Amino acid sequence: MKNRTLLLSILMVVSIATNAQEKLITRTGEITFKSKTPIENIEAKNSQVASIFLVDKKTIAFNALLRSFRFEKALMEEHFNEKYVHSDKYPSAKFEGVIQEDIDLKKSGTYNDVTVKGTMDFHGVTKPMEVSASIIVSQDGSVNFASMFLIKLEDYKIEVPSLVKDKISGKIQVNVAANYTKQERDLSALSN
Amino acid sequence: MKPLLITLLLLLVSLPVQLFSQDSDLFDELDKLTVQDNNEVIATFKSTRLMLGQSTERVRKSQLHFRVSHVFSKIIGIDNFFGLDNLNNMHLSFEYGLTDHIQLGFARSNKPDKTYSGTLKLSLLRQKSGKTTFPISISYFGGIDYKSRNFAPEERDRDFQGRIDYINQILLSRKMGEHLSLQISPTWIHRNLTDASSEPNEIYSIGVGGRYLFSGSTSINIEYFYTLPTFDLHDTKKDALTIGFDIETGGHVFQLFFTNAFALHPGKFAINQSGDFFNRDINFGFSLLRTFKI
Repeated sequence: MKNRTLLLSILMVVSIATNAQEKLITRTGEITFKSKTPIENIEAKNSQVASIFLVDKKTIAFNALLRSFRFEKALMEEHFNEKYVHSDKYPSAKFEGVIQEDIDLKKSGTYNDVTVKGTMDFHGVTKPMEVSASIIVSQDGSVNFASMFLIKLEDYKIEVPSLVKDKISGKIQVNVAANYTKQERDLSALSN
Repeated sequence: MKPLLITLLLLLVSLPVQLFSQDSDLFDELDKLTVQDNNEVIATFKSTRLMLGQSTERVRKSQLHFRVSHVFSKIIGIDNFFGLDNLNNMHLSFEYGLTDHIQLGFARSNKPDKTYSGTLKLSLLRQKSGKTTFPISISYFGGIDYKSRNFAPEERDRDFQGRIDYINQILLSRKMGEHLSLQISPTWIHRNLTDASSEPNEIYSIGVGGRYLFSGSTSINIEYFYTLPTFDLHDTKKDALTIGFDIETGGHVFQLFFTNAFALHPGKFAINQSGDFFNRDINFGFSLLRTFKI
């Protein structure tokens, strides 16, 4: 009897521990952003966004290095890092949020207009943020996450000099896409 | 009773750890997951030219830089609108990034010899910070100048070899911080044929300069070429000194400068003997840089 209780207790603890480990991972998430003005459209893409999706907790977290954004013009890329986002000081943008809807993401299906509520940490500013996303859970357990939202530069203290005000929009459209597959789980063990 | 106690204890210990450490753990793990970019120091200078001379900045792979530089005549008064009435020299250049480390260029300079230049810039080592550090960026710049103007006498005009100069520069730079970057550019020019037999074929000059970034888009730059006094016509007072600004506007960089030089290619301005900066022999000039992706 005693032994059985002990076993049960250990099982309980272990199950809690494994529950917390129920997560999906990707290192190749994509974030693109666009600034549109009548004079110039600027677009950049980062295809090395890391993300962790804790399915049970409905928690999703992203980490994007600002140096990994690629622009059409290399000069723009340097100016972006040096002048706007100061990536020497603030190397990455981070987001962590929780899905608000009462849905079971272990079941396959398409979940549109899901609300993800959390905080964004970018350019030294931490702000609450709520975005709308769509999540597709495939039968093989892989998960597709996509979201689009707008960021106001002034919210994150990114200054646009008056000289280029006409060329850079104050509102930046951001697209996030991540594809998590079950096989990628073990990638967490990989180091850079 | 004991196992139950252990269970509770275990639960108590494990739960808070999980609850509390979740956020930072998650980001710690994410940090480990994230593919790192190279840790090269970027934006040492705004442009591939410090002022007149080359900087260690490079034209990246598949990028084309088109640059037009002008220099006007001496700023002496309103009579010639402070020099702007007379365009003294124009320099056009195309520079293409074959890779991130190899750049090929072609340039044409009006004065003094209607010079065509073929150029090569190699980015040999980059300044790095972070996990592996390296203190400076090192580049090589080489050029072959072909002077296409008419020479007299006719024999001189027919001498193809005599129209050619070779330029070699080692560019060493360091970004000292967000604002300050410095560069040293030892320069060796070989002239196949000189104007007078007493003049040496080899000219040595040391470029020193830097920039101070005082707003995100504007920096003040200074560049001075100290030419070794190895020839009779040499006058140290007339070594090329240039002070100016980089103004960056998104994809463009404008450079505005004040200089005693009138030549805009290194094969000439490094042996430039055209005026004394501190005796008000100052010309105004500017360059526009436009980049394209090819």
